[in-house]
Amino acid sequence: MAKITENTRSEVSEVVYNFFMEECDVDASEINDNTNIIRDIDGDSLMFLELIEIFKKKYTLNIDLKTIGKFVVKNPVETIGQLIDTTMLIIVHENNITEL
Amino acid sequence: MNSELAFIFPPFVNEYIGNEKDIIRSFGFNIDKLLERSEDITSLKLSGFDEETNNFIGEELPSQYLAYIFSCAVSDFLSTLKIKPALVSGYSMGIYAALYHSKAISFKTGFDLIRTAFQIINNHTLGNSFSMATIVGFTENDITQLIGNNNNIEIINRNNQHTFVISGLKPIVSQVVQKATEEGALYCRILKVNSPYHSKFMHKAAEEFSDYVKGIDIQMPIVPIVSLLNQQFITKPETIAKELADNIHHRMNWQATIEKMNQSGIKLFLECGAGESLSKIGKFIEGDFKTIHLGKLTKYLSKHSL
Repeated sequence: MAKITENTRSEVSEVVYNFFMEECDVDASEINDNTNIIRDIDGDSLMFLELIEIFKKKYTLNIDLKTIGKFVVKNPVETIGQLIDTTMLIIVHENNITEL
Repeated sequence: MNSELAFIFPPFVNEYIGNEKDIIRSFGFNIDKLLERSEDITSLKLSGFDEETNNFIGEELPSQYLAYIFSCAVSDFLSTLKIKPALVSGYSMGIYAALYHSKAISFKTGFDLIRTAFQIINNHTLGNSFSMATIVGFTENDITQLIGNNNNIEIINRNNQHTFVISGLKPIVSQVVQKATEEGALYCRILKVNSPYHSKFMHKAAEEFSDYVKGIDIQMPIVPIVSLLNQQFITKPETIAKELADNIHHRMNWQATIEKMNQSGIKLFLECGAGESLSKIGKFIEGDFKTIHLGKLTKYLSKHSL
């Protein structure tokens, strides 16, 4: 179970923004929470998977990709803000996310 | 030779970065001349290819030629820069460029092999509609359960712990992809190919291709080639001939291939060709190594000496 603190959201946000700046070769000024990952910065679904793997290790999460996939089918992630929100839900609820 | 370096050669390219020709030109290599030479060999107007729009994507044979040409171009300019790998390996049809780099076959022979394999496979799959797909986010067991007892589809590659490739009859592949998407696969994609490469449907084609391969000129490779099928180091022409035929109809294991090379001391893989598919796949394979694709090569070489 991940230890959630008041700083967790800002930690997640920092990791996500740094990740997209590196992977998509964009400056911090070019992206924000409303940035569409695929349309605006040429991202892809595998980047979401990569971020899940990063957070799985960082917060020692007990998560099954298939469970996350089921949640994402019903709650699609398009923007950076949505991705941060979904990541927070994954960290807080782990495999119980589909019960939300 | 750099004992910690391997060259890996991508398969048929579904997605180009978009500026591959410019990157290759920036290394002083004349890709336009190579395309002209390829046109002479193939009698196809390949110089009209635009990697930004991928305007040949629906045409399987020209697309395979182009993947081969870009890989050979990268192989050539890296050789000119005296960057020499300890090992090479090719993913699926990437084997042809891997063999070219290791000087086991000539540039022209690569085209002959691609064309002949394509024609033989087409002849043996006439009358049926086939397809292939990538599924991300499921375990091998999940996919095996989706397939069930259906003999018309099979898993033909393990890219990494999260990514598998399936091959078989088109309607069945579509059904499995739809089911996987509904049941939570993070990403599924039907590949733009019309043949069930690497599956049991290719057995007869592989037999015929094996006879063809016996007649081609294969030299002793100057760099060992790591088999995508059984992860053995291939160093002899007769083993190359067998690998070429087996590559048509045997299951692959890219994850095991990368792991084997990593265990043999490889710390850096250069993806020699267009796109960045192998670099993406490599991110989900555990190990102490990096994979650099063409789009990142200039920056990497400006900071590191190979």
